[in-house]
Amino acid sequence: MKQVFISLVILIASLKIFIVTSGSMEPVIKTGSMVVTKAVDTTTLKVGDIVAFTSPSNPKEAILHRIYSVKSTAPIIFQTKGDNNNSPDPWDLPQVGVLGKYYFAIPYLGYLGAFIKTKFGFALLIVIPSIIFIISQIIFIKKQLKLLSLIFIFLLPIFFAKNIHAKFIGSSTINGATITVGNLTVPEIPSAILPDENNYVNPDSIYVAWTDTDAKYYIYQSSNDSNFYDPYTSENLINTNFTTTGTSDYIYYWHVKACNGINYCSNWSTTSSFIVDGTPPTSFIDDIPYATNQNNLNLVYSAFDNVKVDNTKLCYSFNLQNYQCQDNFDFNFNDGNGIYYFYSKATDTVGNTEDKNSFTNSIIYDTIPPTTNLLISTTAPTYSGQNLSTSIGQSFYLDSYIEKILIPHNLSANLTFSFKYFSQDLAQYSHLDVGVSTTDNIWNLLTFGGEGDFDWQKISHSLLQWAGQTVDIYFKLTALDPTFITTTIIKDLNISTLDLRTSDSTPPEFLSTDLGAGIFESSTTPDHISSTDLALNIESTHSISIVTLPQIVLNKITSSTITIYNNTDTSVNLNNWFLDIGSTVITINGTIPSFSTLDFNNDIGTTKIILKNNLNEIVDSTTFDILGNSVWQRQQNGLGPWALFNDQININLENSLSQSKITLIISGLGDTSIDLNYSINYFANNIEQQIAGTILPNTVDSTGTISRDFYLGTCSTGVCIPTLNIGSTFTVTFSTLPTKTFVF
Amino acid sequence: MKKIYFSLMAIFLVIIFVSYAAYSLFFSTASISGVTFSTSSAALQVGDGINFDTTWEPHDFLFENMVPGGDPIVKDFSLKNVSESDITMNLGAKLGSSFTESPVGSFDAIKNDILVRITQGTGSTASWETLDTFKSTGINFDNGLSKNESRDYHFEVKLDADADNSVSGKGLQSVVFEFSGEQN
Repeated sequence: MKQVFISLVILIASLKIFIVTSGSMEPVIKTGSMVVTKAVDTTTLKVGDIVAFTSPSNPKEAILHRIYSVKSTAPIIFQTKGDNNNSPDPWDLPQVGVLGKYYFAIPYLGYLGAFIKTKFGFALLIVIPSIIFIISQIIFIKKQLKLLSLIFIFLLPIFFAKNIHAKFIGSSTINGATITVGNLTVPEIPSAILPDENNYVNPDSIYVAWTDTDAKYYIYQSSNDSNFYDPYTSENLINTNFTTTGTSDYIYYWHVKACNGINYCSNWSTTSSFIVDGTPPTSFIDDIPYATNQNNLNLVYSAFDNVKVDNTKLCYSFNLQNYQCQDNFDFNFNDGNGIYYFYSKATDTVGNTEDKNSFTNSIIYDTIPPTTNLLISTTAPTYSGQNLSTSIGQSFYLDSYIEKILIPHNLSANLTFSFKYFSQDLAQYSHLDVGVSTTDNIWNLLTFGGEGDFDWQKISHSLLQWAGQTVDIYFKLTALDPTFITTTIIKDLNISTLDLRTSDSTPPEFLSTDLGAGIFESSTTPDHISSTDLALNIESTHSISIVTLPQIVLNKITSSTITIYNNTDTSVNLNNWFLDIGSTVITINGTIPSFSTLDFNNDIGTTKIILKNNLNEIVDSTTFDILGNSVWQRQQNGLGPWALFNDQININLENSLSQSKITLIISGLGDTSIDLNYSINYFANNIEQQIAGTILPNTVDSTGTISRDFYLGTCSTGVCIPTLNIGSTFTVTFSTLPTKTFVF
Repeated sequence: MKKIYFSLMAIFLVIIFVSYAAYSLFFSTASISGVTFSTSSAALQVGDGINFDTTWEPHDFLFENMVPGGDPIVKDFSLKNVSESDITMNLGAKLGSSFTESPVGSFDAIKNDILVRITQGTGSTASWETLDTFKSTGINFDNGLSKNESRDYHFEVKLDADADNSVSGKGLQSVVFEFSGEQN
């Protein structure tokens, strides 16, 4: 019994009673509970045990929390946490702070303890029972003594129970902070790397570099003065180099210092220097020929610089197109004929380049010789040449045939004809005279006589000496004795201005054309001409071949209409001109506008028509077969041969646009012998398109019809893509036929 | 006689106990008076004064390139008591132990030279604590943060003017500042 009592006393002595005032240990230990703890060996405590301990942040305060972790075992340090807190306590709990291990708890009994600690509760539950106890002791009331003793045993420990917190702890964190100390070490002094000492540098790209001394930044300083008076000072430079531009030419001194992140800087580096050279070199190309026909041209250049020329390039452009530069001044005209423009562009050793943007030299590369023709004035009347067939009929006395013509200036016209002479005049007095007469003189070219029937003879004689003059060519038969018959037949009379130049003291006018360098000179031999251009290309000598046209030409003849055409750019007065149509002479009055036609309606009962001017000079003539319903026609300007067309030329254009096709059909071409040039114009996508071609006589069928199909599109490797958005109007134009328009 | 002896002893003890209890209850400034009970839970959030959360990762909480005797680097933050019940908090802060040393060994190199304090307003006379203290015991820097109340603070860090070159280039990355609001 005694041992039990002693054990009970020891147990009671090891117990501590606390009133839980907050709820961080709920629901295990509710607020208002009376908690009893027991002193234990702290080395036996483990994670999960609930312990009462003195608050590390407030020694006057006791806290009841659960051991969250054991942070250290020597010494023992616990980390605690309230069950109802979202984070461990912020303190470290040493073992000496542990008041006891949770033993048991009596819910709500803490509220009684709190009540006892009020004045009223203290008086009611402590003082009054104490007084009663004392009195009862005094009067020896044993039963009360026992009862009150029990009350004391129960209430006094409650009274002396301390408050204990199951303390609430809220926590939060700031994450990701950085704490660093700057680099307190002064960086080493950098050393200059670039440019080399006293080197020349280009102001457009001054690049200064120094050694990396593991600095946070560098400060660069430069000055024209070696003592750095009034220097330029850079901002903080992260890199170990510094680039600047635009500094004027001069010697510059520079140094640099290195600084760490807390602005501890080294001393300035050893002073270095460089020389800014922003002056570009100059260069020029020596004179080159104006033109050449040689494919290689070696250009000679000179270049100068205040320091040193590094290289010089030859820049050129072909026909002022994009220019390009090459290192080689030995130039080949690889782009072909044209004008080549050159300039030289020099660069010095620091990269200064001449600022040239215009060409200083040019040359014409020309390998094509010129072409030369004689220049014929279109204002002077000319004669296109005739092929007359006439006869001087039987004559007893005198008969003659006279043609008045204007010999073109500078041109040698030839008179050619054939004649057959028959005469019974034994005395041979009868004779044929052929000659030229002007208002001032007569030149006899031929006198032929004799008795007999002579065969055909052909005569040709130059009319050179009458160039530029209007002359009468006369054929005169003289028969003095009518007893004897004398007859001469003239045929193939041709007075041609289309002749070779022979000799003329008049300086010739050349129409020399050269698309390249231009004409250097033109020269003529008695029957050939040739020019040389400035590139020394020599034109192959060639014969003079000139087509001369009269002002007014015969253009078209039907059985009832004669059409003439003004082939000049001015109107021509036709007063007293006339058309000789054999049986009838039509006198013309009026004016024909430039490049216009004029029709004369008259039955044409002949096969020859002659157009003469007011001076009775033959201007144009033509001979043909009986026309019937056909048309005798040539190009309006008088060029080209005459051709016979059937009665009606019918031109039709068939519409097959759904298949992107049209068909040109021309009928009534008869036995035409001329090439028909045609063009068909239309619009596609509002852009004018053209089909052009030539119909050759041998492609016309036996019915005089030709048909051509045209696909309107683009074909490539067998695949055709039709043209879209084709307009509805097609215009067909011919070289010798009227224009006709079709609208689909 | 024995009963009388015990009774006298009991009377004596009761008088002693009651007198001590009365003295403790009515004349002491100790902690036994004013017992209150509180329930629910406490929560503390940190932020920039506008937005709060239990974890805040500002991009500019950088205390870098400090030099001996240099001006403190000051970063602002705010704390807010978001407890569900009417809990008033006493505020403390500690340096979390999960930082990264750059280079390794930096903490030991700078722990006694980096000084930290948390202040309010201007002209604070709060004492500076070493980084070592800040990590081991933390700083109690404010009291009485009421429920739903937020307060603005300055986190100030500087390098001691007497620091030598041994701290040069030393630093801590991914540092966590732990704030606790302890129920008052």
